[in-house]
Amino acid sequence: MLHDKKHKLIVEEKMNSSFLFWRRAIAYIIDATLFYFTFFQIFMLIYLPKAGFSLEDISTMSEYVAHSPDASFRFLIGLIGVSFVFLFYLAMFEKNFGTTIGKKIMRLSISGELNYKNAFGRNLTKSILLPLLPFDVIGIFTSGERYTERLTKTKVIYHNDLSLNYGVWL
Amino acid sequence: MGEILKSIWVLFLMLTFTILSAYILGDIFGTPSGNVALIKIDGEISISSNIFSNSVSSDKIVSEIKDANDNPNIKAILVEINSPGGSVVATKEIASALKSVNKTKVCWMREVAASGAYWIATTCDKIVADNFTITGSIGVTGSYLEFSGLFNKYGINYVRLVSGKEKDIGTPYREPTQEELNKVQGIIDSIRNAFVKEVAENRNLSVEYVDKIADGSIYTGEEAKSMGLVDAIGGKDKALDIIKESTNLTKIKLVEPKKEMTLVDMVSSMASREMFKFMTSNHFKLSAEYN
Repeated sequence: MLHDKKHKLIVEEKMNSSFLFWRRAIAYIIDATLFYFTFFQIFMLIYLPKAGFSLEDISTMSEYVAHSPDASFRFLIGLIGVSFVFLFYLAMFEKNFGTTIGKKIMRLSISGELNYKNAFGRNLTKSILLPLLPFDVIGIFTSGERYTERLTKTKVIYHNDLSLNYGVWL
Repeated sequence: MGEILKSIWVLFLMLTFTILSAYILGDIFGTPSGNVALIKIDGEISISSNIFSNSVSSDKIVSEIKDANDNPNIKAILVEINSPGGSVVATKEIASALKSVNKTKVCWMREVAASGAYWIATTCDKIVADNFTITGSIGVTGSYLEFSGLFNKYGINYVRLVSGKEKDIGTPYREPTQEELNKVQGIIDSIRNAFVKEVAENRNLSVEYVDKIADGSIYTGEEAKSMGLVDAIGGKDKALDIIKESTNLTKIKLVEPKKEMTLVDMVSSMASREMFKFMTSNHFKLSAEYN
């Protein structure tokens, strides 16, 4: 049993990797979905017109991009840009609240030294280095944590207590 | 309370970062690349345009021409015209801007390139038209509807309060005097003569010859070629081939000017598009149907 200074009793359960993995995966999907319907839309509403995409282009985006290498490049830049925004979202929430909205819903939080460097570092493969995420996730099954978490010395913990008193919300 | 403020602060930072990054990336990477600028003149030519009209703004076109001229990557300009003409000053602005470009310019005429649009086309080095393009119409019109007869019929009087005898010249509410008609006709004739001179100079034709054909007549692309008003019959490929010959470019990559739009522009273009669809729906069709 561990007692946290700020909160009530926090129980760190020894969960099996599979249980933690699924909770974390669902938390990630929740965060990604929330991000998609908010900051992603704001980003694209500003970026696409500035990047020279007209309304017609946007409504036939896949066709337009497929036939225009120049448009493909500009669209790709937009996707890379929005992935940086997603990294910012994940890191800012974890650094300031110790958790993200998706994690909070799944009763998860981050323990360890959560400075900005670690907050950004542990989320790189979930955003701008997304293709590396499958390799990073393998760590959960071998040692209970992702490789980037091992590097940043942070850990995801599950909270069994019902008070949900480990973070703050709006 | 402190925690709530922290939440608001984090959200504010997120929003600021999102907006700034979108704006900066859009600015940096939003410029399309290519070696031949495609400038489209589609619609009636005027000084300004609005969301409910199909007119093209001379300010916008002149700006695109200048950008293409200043861009060292652009080796030639392809001017695509589909326009019945428009206002005199707007036409002259575009023609002057094109004339000052020191790169290869080829005009590609689509359905219509008449009157002022033809004037603009003549400033290009070569003109390509389709067999059935409607062009020519070298001349000026200042016609307007005059309602004095209708007003008289319904007992409506036009009360004329002016500080000078020509102050309300051209008003549709009274019959014009012969003096006024002569005055306006004189203006129309001088504009027409300037138009003829420009066409003659740009197309290397004699003023007398252009004067003879400048009675406002329209010509098909084929007729125009036989009269020396256009250089070739064809489409976009023909125009691009001419550019390749003139510039020694082996591969052409067309680039349209950056269509920078704000959110308001997008919404208003959506509104005008929806209005256009509504207006051209079956309820308002005037064309005959062939079954």
